[in-house]
Amino acid sequence: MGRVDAAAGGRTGGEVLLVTRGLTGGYGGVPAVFDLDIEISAGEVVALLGPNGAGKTTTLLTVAGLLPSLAGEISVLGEPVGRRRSGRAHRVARRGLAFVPEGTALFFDLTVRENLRLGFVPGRRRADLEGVLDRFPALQDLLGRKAGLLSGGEQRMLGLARALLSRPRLLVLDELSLGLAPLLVKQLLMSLREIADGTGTGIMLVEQQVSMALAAADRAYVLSGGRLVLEGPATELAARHELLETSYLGEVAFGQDGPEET
Amino acid sequence: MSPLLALTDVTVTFGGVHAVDHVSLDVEHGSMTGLIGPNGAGKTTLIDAVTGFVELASGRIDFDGSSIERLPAHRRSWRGLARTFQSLELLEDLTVRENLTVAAEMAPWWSALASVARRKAAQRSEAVEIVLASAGLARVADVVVTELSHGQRKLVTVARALVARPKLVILDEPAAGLDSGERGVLRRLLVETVEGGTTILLVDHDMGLVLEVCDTIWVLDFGSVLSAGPPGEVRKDPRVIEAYLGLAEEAAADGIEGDGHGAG
Amino acid sequence: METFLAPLLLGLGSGAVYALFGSGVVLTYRASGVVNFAVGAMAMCTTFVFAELRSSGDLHLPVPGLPSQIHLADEVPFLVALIISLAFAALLGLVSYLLVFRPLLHASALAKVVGAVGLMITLQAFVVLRFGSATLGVAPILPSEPVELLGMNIPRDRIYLAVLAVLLGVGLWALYRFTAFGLATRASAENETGIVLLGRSRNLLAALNWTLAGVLSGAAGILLAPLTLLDPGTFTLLVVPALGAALIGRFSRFGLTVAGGLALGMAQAGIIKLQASVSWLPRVGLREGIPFLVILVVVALGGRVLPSRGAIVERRAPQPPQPRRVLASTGVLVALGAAGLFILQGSYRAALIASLIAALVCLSLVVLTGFVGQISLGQMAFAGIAGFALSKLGEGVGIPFPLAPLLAACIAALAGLAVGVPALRVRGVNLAIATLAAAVAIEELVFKNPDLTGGFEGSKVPLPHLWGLDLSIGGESSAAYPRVAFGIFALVVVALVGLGVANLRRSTIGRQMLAVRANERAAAAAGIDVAATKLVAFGISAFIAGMAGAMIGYQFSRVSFTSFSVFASLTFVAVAFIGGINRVSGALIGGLLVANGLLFTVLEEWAGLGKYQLMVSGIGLIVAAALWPEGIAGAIGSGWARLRSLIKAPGSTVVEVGAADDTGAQREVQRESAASPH
Repeated sequence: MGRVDAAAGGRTGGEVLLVTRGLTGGYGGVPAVFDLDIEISAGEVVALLGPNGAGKTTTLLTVAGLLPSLAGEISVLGEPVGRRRSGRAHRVARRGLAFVPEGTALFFDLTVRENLRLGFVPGRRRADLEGVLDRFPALQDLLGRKAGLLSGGEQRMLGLARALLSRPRLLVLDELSLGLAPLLVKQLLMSLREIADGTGTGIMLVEQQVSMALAAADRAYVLSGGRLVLEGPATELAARHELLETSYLGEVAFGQDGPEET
Repeated sequence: MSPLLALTDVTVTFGGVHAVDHVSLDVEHGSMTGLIGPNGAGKTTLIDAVTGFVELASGRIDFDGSSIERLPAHRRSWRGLARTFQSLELLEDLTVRENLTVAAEMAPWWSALASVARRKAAQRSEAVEIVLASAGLARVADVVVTELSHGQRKLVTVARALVARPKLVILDEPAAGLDSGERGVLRRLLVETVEGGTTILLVDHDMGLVLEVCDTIWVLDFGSVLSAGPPGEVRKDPRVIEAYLGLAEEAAADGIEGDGHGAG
Repeated sequence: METFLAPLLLGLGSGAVYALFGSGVVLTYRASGVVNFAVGAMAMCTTFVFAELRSSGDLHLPVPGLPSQIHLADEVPFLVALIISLAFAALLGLVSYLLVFRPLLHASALAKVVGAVGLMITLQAFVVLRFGSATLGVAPILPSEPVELLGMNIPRDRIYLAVLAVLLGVGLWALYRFTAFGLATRASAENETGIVLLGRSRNLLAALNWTLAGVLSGAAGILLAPLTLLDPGTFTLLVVPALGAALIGRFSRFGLTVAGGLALGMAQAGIIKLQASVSWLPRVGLREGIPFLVILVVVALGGRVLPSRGAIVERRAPQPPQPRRVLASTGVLVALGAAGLFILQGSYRAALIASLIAALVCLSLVVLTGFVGQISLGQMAFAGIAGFALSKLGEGVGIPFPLAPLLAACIAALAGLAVGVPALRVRGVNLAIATLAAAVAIEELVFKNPDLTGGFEGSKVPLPHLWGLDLSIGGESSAAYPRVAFGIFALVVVALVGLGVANLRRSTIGRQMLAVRANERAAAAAGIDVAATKLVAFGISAFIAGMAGAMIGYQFSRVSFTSFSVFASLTFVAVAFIGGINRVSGALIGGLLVANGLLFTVLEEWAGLGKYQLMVSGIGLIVAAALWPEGIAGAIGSGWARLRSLIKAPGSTVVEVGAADDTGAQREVQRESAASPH
């Protein structure tokens, strides 16, 4: 794995929230990610980058306990995540990991307010609903509407708001910006930065909008073909994007002419 | 010549709320027209209205010279109006080729039913193979769509909309969730499609893509048209910057980076 | 006016019971997406336990290994008996979940239907084995002295029951509306991953709900018993009005369900009164039939032809495979069948013929449920319509043989379209129950009307003759019953229909049906007329069912309503599913599995199942529903494929497609989180 300025990797001092050692994961016993070593500390925003099909989502699902790991170790908030099939995800959630999957996992038949009420995870301290809604003013007027009738962007906001209500210690986000207007993406990434800085929550995000993600993140891991190929501080990676491009383009599934065509 | 698609005073309501509020909008023949706006502005509802998935409260929709607002969705599709969905809405459990074949046949039920007697086995249609190739899907043509990656599935929906050679294809966020390589394939596919004579109405948040490929851009906010014009004008419109893009310089830069050049 | 008010109020009693059962059905549907057809059977078990405790002081335990009954006391007080019985009911609910429905948690809606039907049959068999099928009397629980209300004397217990039902409805509504438990239950039914990510255990929620549902149905049974007679048949049948009430509540709203149940009971009582005072109304059927007709129409009017944005897609069974080597396999199977007909004698040959005819019914389900994904629980109603039409056309009008059954099947197809039109606007479980309602209405209003069908006696069907050939089952002399000629006739019909269905799958309309099944919105966008495609399927399916109905007529030389009951329809759905509802070969296997078919006849003759037959088939359904999502045919198919790949390329098991990952895993989880809807 490439490592950009290893010495500067990670913020120092924060409690380590997530550690994976030699993690291999996949679906149906077929490995899709191999031998991952990932660490996230309190107050850190870490981006997980890579082309589609590189294994980003598989990594998140495994960490959240929705997929069994095939080999290696995962420790979330100081406790190991089981290797046995699913079922463990609700325990991981109670420990303080909030996962917002790409599909947001909203309840379309319930109202926005009811979705938010479910964000109060049993056994965890509750965040102040008003305070969270202040970050998402658009949701204020939609509290009585069924989540299924929201627009795609509104649903992403609701998913994030709901996750924040359990005061997570580790927030894991898959493709947060999917279908969101540029202005909104910037605002959301800024709020994430604030949350990490203000509350010490660790944040791990998968993102296709690479430059925006790097602008908000402290560090980034780059996955390709199921393996970590690059790791380093976000500023370094942003400055030396040729490194990023080589690791990306080697694995792009379609025409190599893509990005150059502009 | 009158525009290919013309919306006149179109209004759609959900439970008393005007999701689309007296919108009038044109799409010219052979153009690549963009439709952008903040989340919840009513873009998808507008597409649903044009393609027959929601009913109009009032207004008129003319397509290729005749009014279509009373036709059911499949008949609009027979007239040459195709679309994709943000939520993909693939025919799951079917292969990529089957997904495309179903759309390519475009057969009314009576002729579809008659084909039982004719006993022609699923022959490979040329149109399907051409679209498969240009969307970069030939390699996975016989794979069941749920086995594909997100980006590939997205391209299947675009290919499915193109395969019946529609007059107008409306794409709802085709670039969302694609990585840089896949975006390249998409951009090329869009350009080739317009060159081939099909008109495109493109809804997307990828400003790099929209600003680059579209001739005209309409901006929707709170269910109404906020601005319209060529990309150069729209991106400088202060109302659009405030409601949608954020700071002008930054927006343009970010958009193009997000669109391929990775860490700029 | 006054004369009508009294019966309406009297109807409150049964209405309240429908409301209670209906609420129980809604509860389990919300908790685990299961339509609990066994709700009546579960209540019956509890009621029998209660009745035995009160009358003999014995506690019956249905657990293998433990003594079957324990004598508690000579005189068990009411409250003690009630508590013990409700504890039993709670346990029954919990165990039903753990053993039957938990394994089906990720199964298709249809597999859950089959599991529930299996449980219903098993419990009913258990009660018959343990308590016999005799009728039990239970002493009244609520005081029944009449009370004067609006100038009429009404038994008090009716009023109490109605009040109880309303209170319960309000209580359940509040529970699921306002409590954290209720909210989490509603959420978990919709999106399993979502609820797990929010720190709740899906399993615990479902188990609690099933326990609650068990208590609810048990209590309803104990309250009901004094009003009616306690026998296995009556109780199991209660599921039909209970489902009617649940359908009014759209399987999600308790208030509407309770109101629907009460209205149903009152309407039935009112109709009885009406029948007594209006002479030209038919004597039978109206009470049961009319309300269901109304339910069907009301439910259909509320729906949309295309599902709206954000609509929740139910899990479907796997998609129908492309049939291969159709002509060759038809040839082999026809040869096998013919050989069987010639070799087998007597009851075995009759069983093979019964299996062939049953395969036709299963084929009708392959088209409608397998190809288009529309669950029909009323298929035998179409068969019955054709059967009775055949009798009228043949015996009455005198239309000759090959024409009469074809015309009869066409009439069934028209009935299919008539049911199909309102069914266009409902989906999933609501559609399933709507077809059940239609079947009940047809059964009660048409089949049971002796003026139309000859009642229990049934009506005669002419013997089939073609160009001087006698194709009848018995012939002029009853020498060699059943005759081979009739068997060959049935074999030819099955072969032709089977070929037709296989061709349908490969045709353009077949692809369109699969597209509608996969995604109605996408299908419409691709230029497919969703409504017309569904109607074509309803028509074809009812036509095939109609052919089966005509064959049943020829099989018995007469038709009577007992062959075409709603429960016969339910069993056929179960059997077709176990065989494999998504392909022709599955329908053939399904045919072998019916109660009077080849498999059970062989088991009966060799192993002497006797009184355990019902129990064995019930448990078989439960196990098969969990084990084989694609039925036996599917299991054989994939087993065969695996074997072949092992022979061809030992060691290589997985074929990689597309990108390295983010495929299967992601899809599985995303499907659960229902992806982003737009």
